[in-house]
Amino acid sequence: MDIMAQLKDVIEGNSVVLFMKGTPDFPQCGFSSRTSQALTACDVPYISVDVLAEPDVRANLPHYADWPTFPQLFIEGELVGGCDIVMEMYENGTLKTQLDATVKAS
Amino acid sequence: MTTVENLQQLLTDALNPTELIIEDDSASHAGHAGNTGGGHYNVIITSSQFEGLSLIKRHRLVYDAVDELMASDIHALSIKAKASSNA
Repeated sequence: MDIMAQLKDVIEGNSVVLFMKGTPDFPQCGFSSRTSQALTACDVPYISVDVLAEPDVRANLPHYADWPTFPQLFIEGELVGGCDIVMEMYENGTLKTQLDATVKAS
Repeated sequence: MTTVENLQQLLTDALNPTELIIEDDSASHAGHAGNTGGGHYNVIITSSQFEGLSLIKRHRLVYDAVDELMASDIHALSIKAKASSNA
């Protein structure tokens, strides 16, 4: 399976996916760290993919959703955004609302 | 032209902002994991073109405007995109 098909599988097969540098426990970048902390604080299950450990993902994900940087958060197969957007949504409460709706629906 | 000046020029041309603040934050991130050499920049931008757009669409407009810098000069761009100065 080619990398784009693999990305599609991961993104569409999981309700909440975070592509980040490092892992939630050992983030390797401040932006990834803040984003995973916000997600964890919303108390919903999510899977994370470490793009530093997956060079193919790192090279190709920016083309998948036409978004140039990491981290990238996908909810229900849709790109929500990077660190700034996730943090703004976390602070105004819409992140939690959207995540809760996702978890209820699945 | 420095990267900050480049950013200023590209964003001004593309989005006609009423507020544009660009900070070079590269020093605090030099050499961390995964940084291939580009800098970190913070952008605060207000433009009427963001009116009615979701955050992701606003950010896409900013990324589109500076696309030519993303491959090499910019490693990370922190964006705060507002439709009007009090929003």
